[in-house]
Parts: sequence; structure tokens; C-alpha cells
Amino acid sequence: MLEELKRFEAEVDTALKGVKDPEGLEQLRLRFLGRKGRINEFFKRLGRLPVEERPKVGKILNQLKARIESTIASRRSELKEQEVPRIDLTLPGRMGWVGHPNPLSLVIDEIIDFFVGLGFTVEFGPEIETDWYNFEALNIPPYHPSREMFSSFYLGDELLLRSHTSPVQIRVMERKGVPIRFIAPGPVYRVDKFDATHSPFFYQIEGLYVDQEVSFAELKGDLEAFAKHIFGESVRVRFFPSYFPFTEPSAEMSISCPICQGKGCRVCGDSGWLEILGCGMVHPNVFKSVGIDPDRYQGYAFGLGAERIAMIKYIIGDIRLFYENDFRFLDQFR
Amino acid sequence: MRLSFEWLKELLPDLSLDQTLDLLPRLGFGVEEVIDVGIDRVISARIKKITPHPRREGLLVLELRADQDYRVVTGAKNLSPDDNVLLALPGALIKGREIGVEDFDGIKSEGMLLSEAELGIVDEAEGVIRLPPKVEPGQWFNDLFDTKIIDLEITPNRGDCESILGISRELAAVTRGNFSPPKLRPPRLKSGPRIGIEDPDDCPRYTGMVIEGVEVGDSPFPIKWRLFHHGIRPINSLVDITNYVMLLLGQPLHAFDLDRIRGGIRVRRARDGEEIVTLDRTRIGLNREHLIIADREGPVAIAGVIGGMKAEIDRSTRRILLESATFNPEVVRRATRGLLIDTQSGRRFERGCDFAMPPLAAEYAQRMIKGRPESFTDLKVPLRRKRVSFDPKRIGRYLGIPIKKREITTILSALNFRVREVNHRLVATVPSYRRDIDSECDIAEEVARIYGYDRIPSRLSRGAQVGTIPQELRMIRRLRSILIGLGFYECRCFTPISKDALETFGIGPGVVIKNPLNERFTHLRTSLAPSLVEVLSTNYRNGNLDVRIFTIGKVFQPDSPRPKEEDFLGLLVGGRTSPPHWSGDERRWDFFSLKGVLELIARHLTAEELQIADDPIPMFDHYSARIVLGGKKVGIIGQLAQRILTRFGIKEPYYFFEVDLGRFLLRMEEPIYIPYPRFPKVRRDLAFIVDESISAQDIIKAIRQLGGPLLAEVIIFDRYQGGGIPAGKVSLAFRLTFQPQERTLTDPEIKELTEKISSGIELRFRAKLRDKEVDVGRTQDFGGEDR
Repeated sequence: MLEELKRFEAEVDTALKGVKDPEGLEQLRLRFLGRKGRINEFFKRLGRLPVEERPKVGKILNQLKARIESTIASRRSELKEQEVPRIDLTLPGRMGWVGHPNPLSLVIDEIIDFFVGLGFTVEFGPEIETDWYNFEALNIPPYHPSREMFSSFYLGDELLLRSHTSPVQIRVMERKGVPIRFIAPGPVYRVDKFDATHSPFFYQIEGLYVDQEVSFAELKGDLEAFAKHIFGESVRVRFFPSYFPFTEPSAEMSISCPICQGKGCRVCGDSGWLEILGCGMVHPNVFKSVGIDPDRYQGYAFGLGAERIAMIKYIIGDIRLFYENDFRFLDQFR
Repeated sequence: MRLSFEWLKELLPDLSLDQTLDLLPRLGFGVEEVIDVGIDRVISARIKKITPHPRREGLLVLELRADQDYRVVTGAKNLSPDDNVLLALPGALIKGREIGVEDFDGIKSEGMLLSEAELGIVDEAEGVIRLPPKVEPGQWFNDLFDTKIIDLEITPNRGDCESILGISRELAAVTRGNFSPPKLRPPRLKSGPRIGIEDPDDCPRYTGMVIEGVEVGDSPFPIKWRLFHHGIRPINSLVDITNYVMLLLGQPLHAFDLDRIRGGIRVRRARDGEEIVTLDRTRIGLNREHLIIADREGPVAIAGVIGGMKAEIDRSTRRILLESATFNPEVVRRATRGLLIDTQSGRRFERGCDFAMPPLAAEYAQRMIKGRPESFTDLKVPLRRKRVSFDPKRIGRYLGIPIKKREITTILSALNFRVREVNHRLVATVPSYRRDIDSECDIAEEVARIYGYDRIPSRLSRGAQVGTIPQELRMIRRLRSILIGLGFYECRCFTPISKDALETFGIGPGVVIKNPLNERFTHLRTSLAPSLVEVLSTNYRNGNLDVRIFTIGKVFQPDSPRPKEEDFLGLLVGGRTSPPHWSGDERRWDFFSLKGVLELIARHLTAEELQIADDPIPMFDHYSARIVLGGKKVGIIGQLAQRILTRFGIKEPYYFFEVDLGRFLLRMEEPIYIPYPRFPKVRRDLAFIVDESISAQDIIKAIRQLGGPLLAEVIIFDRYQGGGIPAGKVSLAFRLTFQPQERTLTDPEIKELTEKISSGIELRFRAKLRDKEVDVGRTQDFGGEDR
């Protein structure tokens, strides 16, 4: 009978593997496990075996029965799954939206991170300023022609909207003294046109580094590294003499146009160069206005417009796009 | 400032245009553009013969000699043989029109004689241009006259460079080539006229020269052409000379008709109420702020700014007083700023003119003026040259270059400084025209400019300081990235808004800008709502109705002594909460989904309990509340009023909140890990029937209080009104989660706690426990929740 059981087992396996639908499976179940099924048949025949063989064969028979039951159960669930209507899995998933940053934030963050890496901290100052902080402490006396460079919106006789971030230099030196090294990002306000290339409101990033031996060479070195960080290693920089009342010597930094690699294009006005920031060595009068001895300390300062950097970096032709916040614009930044 | 390259070349003959354009920026003068004003195919010609046209009345036939002989038919009247004229040959472009050969009744005209109107110098010309007799025929226009105009950016500290002489001095310092500046000498004349100066601080130097027998007419064409391309309208030969000398030497001059001046002149402050009619025929009221030139009767000029009509030069002028003076820059600036008069003279005086120049410029001009110089007066305070003493080593340290004393001396000498050595220091005597040089750092800049900014090495700085991002910025960055992750667009908006917006949103008087740019930006915002609604409107117009936007920025409030400014977060939502999906799932933003965002960021970024207090706020409809944190009002939340949205053409509901970030973010502390509890949580649900006027927020607060430290979380999982619930009542179902810290809770303990809570709530809110507590089972759920 053991031989017969072995054959039966092989027959069962083949039959269960081959069954295609639940009905077929049910028929098989009845054939193998039903009251008049094959297993019961074997059990009936058990009594005819010699007494000493009965327990051994009985045990095998029981195991076989259990195995068939579990195989049928798992086949049943397999067949049930196949029964579910087919779904096109290439249909799109269910997802929310992800938002977008304003490109100014991307640029400001990148600039902050660069200078923090260089050992700078980050400071902030008020947007409403006094004449003293915005002008006089920065070596810009009343009725000085250079006031035209920073023409301001006034809230009162003495109060105005800061026309640059340089007042933060004064506030931080007053509060923390020297040596010091920080950048100060934030909005500034100028009486200016509002068109594709001008805005009465824009973001500036100020930098100040004061210590005993900071020279013009470090100014050049740090800002050159900055330009390469933002615009790529292949960018070249040039420094030209310029004028700001609070720095002397003063300079403007230009970069080779990263769009045309300096060959001349629409963005750089065919010159191959783009002015990106103003900088210089801190004027001794600025140190004097915060009570720092200009014979002991020297330093550099710079100021740059975040919009200008973003416009060059992302080839944005109209400054107004930053403040319109049109989704078709913002969608392109991540 | 505009400068003609050809004029510069008269002083610096070896200079090429390319070299000039390369050197100017290195010296600190940005070149805005180079304008080519040359005209091709125009030539100087001499009239040999004039005959009337045989068949056409009024026309003349001219025989001309230029590079060859030409015949031209003209209607011009003012011609005689041997006149030198400008002939435009076929192919020349004049006012956009190409000159061709034209046939006048059988006689071919091989070109056209030019008038000043055709060159754009004047609107209407009386006749053709006649060149000075010494001009040889056959020379091209572009070889005779200025053609390359350089538009130069001159920084306000370099008033001395607002002239041909000033710029050429700078160029000469670096080229070290041939330099022939104009020959200048003081006048040698008898003393006179009578001049008085009220305050030498206002006017440190005043020279006046009397010239008799002057003849005033038209300037020769080359002068007119030159003035015109330097931005000055030619007036008459005398006024043109004063302007010409100003352009050349940088010294503004003014000529008065002496026959129209009563008595001697005096430089004084105007009296309140005095008036002047200026050369441009404007009547201006004057006061003590203004420095004037006056005769016995009153003002004849606003000093350094503009002349008066009274002593104006015209063609009948025979005697003049030529003024060449130095005025206090600040005084001149008060006048140009206060009276809004922008003149080339004012521009130069407010930037500071060379104190040594007045007599030299007067003498130079006199040589150009037809007339007899009579007398000359020079009033001045004693002139002291500035000296700057400096340590040459410090210059090197400042610039980061090893530069020798000798090289510094050479550079400064090239810039006309006199340098002496005194005890290892150098003392530089500053040229009279360099009013910008006061101290060592100014010397450093001069050295750097001539040494070359390009030659200074670039060195990355070293320093022991560690760079850090402050906590407040870290928090803002975190907030921004959470919101962007939640699907929001980050907006950057102007802080100034319009008065109209303040009124529409009902957000107070705002902070007034005294000199607004236009009516769009007249006040500083007191809320972020107008900014975000404008962004909503922009995108709505483009068909984007699903809007999730935020902005972080300053909000201002009027206060004394100065307005307050605070960093706020504003957030606006509306439309669908997720993209359309084929499954048909769709939710739209409502008040509670917005409040969910607020709760989420509050839970993430602050340690304090967020609360909402109903309050009608003008900008909101239906839902309107204040946000309270730690007992302080920190913001507002609600549904934007339809009346506001309608103004922007928006029909759908949109929701907005704003919070003061200063009160919101800075409560964050560094995390310290507390081992999470290892004992099972127990959940119990309790439902109460309460009056619908009772706020859920208050019940939750009370449950928390009653539950004590074992109660880890309370959420409302159901709210029901209707069948089975009396009118005016509401059923609220709370799920309480108890989390023991030290041991497993026993059933009697849990029972005691829930009974304490339910009876407490029943008592406090006149509530009725709805069902018996339901045991939803013990779970082995560790952690995984926010609290």
C-alpha cells in the first residue's frame, strides 16, 4: 500500500498543479478528500493491513491528508487572486504636490553657505533705519553728492527705509566689536524705476571682515573664490577701481560672462564681462564712527544684489519676475 | 559724462581709441558706451563759382572744389565765392536719407550742401554751414571733427575729472607718453571791478574780469558740433566759449552783460522773499539757503547753478563781466537739490572744483573772446595745499603687496603729487584739484589704481573664526522646507503696498512713505494678506485656481518713536488639495485643512500650545479668528472676505493665516532624548453630548487637565448632530490614549481615571456621557506618533 500511496501523492500533485479554476479545484477536493474520496478509501483499507503496520501507514496517511488540505487552500487563494479584474498598473499614482522655492532664496542660501564655509556668521538688521546708520556713520555726510547713489524713501525727517545693507556693518560692530566676520542678507529700498532691470525693492547681501591684517589681496581672493563657487570654476574675475564713501580703496568686481564664456552675448551686452558687486577696504571714518582704532584694524566690505546674481545664474531677463511669483516661473526652481 | 576722443587726443597725441577704452576702466572710469557720431561721404568744399540755374528760378548752380571738382544745384541764399562748405556726396546718409545724384531740369547735382538742421544741432537753420576760412577743401568730415564720443561714468568723488583736462591727466599718469595740456597762465590786468563776498565759507574764491568791446555772434561750426555732442546746446559765441572752457578745464564760467548790472556785484545769501528769473525763463523764489550773485538791485545769478535773465548775454552785449569762481559744494548742492535745477555747472561745483583754476580759466576764455580785457579782480581765502603723511609700509600691508617706497613715490609723482620723506614716513602734497584725497587710505587707492588692481594678488583669507548659521535662520530654513514639502510655493513680495490695499483689507493706517515712487507703493504693509492676494490674483488670472502659497517677510506697525517691524509668515490656500486623479478622489481646501497646516508647523516648530480665539476681523468672512500662543495673540486665520476677492475677480473661497515668527519660532529648544515608554498604551473612547456653544478646544484642555501626566493624547474622532441628539446639542467623541511610564496600567486604574474624566467633563460643561466607555483594546503600539 505504501507504493500505492506514493503513486497517489504524485497524481495529486500533478492534478492540483494543473487545475485552472476554482470549480476544478472543488472537484479535485471532493475526489481526494470527500466522504467517498480517495483518502477515505485508503483509511477504509487500513483495517485490512496487519496490526503492526497500521500505525505507521496511518501516520503517513494523516500527513498526506494534511498536505493535500493545505495545498488546496493555497491553490484556492492563488486562483482567487487571478479572479480579480485586471488593472492597468501604468496608470498614474496618487500623489500630492511638492512646492517650489523662489529662486532668490536659492541664491541667497547658496551665498550664505559659501561664506559660512569661509568662517563668516550671519547677521540681520532693521529695514527702517536712521540717517545716522544709513548715511553719516558710513562716511556719507548730508548734502554729499554720493547720496544720489543711495536715494532713499523717507518715513520721517530722520527715519528712512535702508537703501543698502551697510548699516548692519555699523550695528554689528557697535554690538560685537572687532575682529569680526559676517554677512548680512536682506531687503533694501531705493528710489528707482520699476522695469525689467530696476527695482525700488531688492535683496542685498553685505559682507564685512575686519581684523588686523586683512588686505585688499584677501578681498580679491575671497570674492574670486565666491564667484567661482556660484558661477563655476571657469569664470574669470576682474576688479576695477570704483567709489563708495564707506570704502577706500573701492572696487567693482566683474566676472567673465558665464553664458557666452566671455565671447559677448545679449546678457553681457557684447562686452563679455558682467559687473556683479561693489567692494573695498573699510574707510577709516567708518571705524571711527563706531569707536574702533583704524590704525590697529583694517578690513574689507562688499555688497551684492541677490537678484543680479540670480538673473545671471538662471538667465532671467526681467527682475520683476522675482516678485510676481507666477507659478510658471516658480515651477522651474527646486 | 560725454567726452570726445578726438578732443582728448589733442592733449594726448599718441593715444589710440582702443588703448583709451582699456585704460579708463582700470583707472576707475566705467565706459558706458562709445557713440559714433561721424558721417561718411561728407567732405569740405570751397565754392569756386556761383551761377543762377538757367531754367529754374531761385536755384543756383555751384562749381565746388573738394577732393575733385563737383557741380551742385542748391536753393541756399547765404553763399559767396570762396566760402567753405560741407558737401554731402552721393551715398552719404543724412537724417536717415541717402544722398543721390539728382537732376534739376537738365543739370545734375552731385551732392547736397549741409545745414546745421540736417546735422540735428538746431531745429531750424537759416542757411548752409560755412566752415572757417582756414579749413582746406577736400578733407573728410570724419577727419575734421569729433566722431567718437565716449560716455563715461565718473564717480561723485572725482569732480576733477569732469573735463577733458581731468581725464587726460589721469590717462597721462599711466601712459607716461606725450601730454600737452592747455597752456594756462593768470591774467595780467589792472585791478577792478568791485566785488564783495559776504562769507568766504560760501565762496572761497571769486574772480571777475571785465572785457570791453565784445562782439557776440554765432560760434564757428566746429565749436557748435563739439558742444552739441557734449550735451550742451550752442547759444551764442560768448556763452559757447564759457561752456567750451568748462568742458576743457572743468571750471564753470559765467558771463554777465555788464551794462545790465547796477553797481558792483556781491556774493551773498539771498534774503527770504527775493526772486530771480533764470535764463530758462523760470521765476524762482529764494531764501537764506541760497547763495546768489547780486547787484545793487537784487539777484543776477544763483551762484554756481544758473544765471539770471536780467544780465543775460545777447547779440547786443558790448561789455561783460566774466565770473570764474569756487563755491562751497554743499551750498551749491542745497540749491540744486532744493530747487531741482540740474546744470552742468551745478554738477561740477557740487562735486568740488579746482581752487587754483579760476584765474587760469578766465584768462584762457578771454583769449578766445573777441574783445579788450580791461581789469581783473581775484578775491580768495589763503590757499593751503593739503599734505598727507603716511607710512609706506602700511600701504603695502593695506593692499597686500610688497611695494617699495620708490615705486610709491613714482606713482604719486605721475599723479602730480609732490612727495618728500620725513622720518621714514612719506609726506605727499596733494594737487589742488584732488579734493578727494585726505588720508592714508586715499593714498592707498591712488597707488593701487596706478599699480593696477589686476596686479594685486588674490589670496584666500585665513582666520580662526568658525562660520555659523544662527538659530533664527536655521528655523526659517526648516519652516521653508517643510512648507515646500507640503506643496507650497514660496513667494517674495514688496513690503510697500498701496493705500487702497490698506483700506480694502481693513488693516489700519499703515506706515506712510513720504516720497513714494508711485501710487502702488505708498505705505508699508501691516499684514501679508495684500501681498499674497496679489500673488493669488496673478496666478488665478492665468487659470491656476489651485493655490498654495506662503511668504516670509516684514510687517510694520506705526509706533513711536519708530514703527515696529516684525518677521511674519503668511500662508494662503484654496482650490484642490491634490492634483486631479483618475480615481476621482478630490478634496478642496477649507478652513480646517488650513488650520491643519498651522497646527502641523506649530507642533513642529514651537513648544507651546496653539489656541484659536473667535474674533471678527475685517478681511475675513464666515471663519475668522485670532491665533493665540502662550496666551499672546500671534496672528490671524480665516476665510478671505468675498468682498475683497471680488475686487480681484475671484469667485472661489480662499483661506489665509499669518503669524508673527518672532513669537513662533524662537521657542524651539535643542532636543534632549527621553527614552520612549516600554509599557503598552491604553485607548479609551468617550462621547459626550454637550451644548453646541461649547468649544471643543476647551473640552480637550479640560480632559488633558483631568487626565494628568498619564494621558498622552486626546483626539476628537467624531462630531455628530441630528437623529438621537437633542436640538442645540452636539455629540463629541474623544479618543484618549493613556501612556504609563513606569509600569503596565491595571484595569481598575484605567476605570478610575476615565470615570474621573467623564464626571469632571459632565460637571464642568453640563455634558452627558453618551455611551458607556468602550474598550478598544490594549495595543502593543510603541511610539510612532508625534507626541
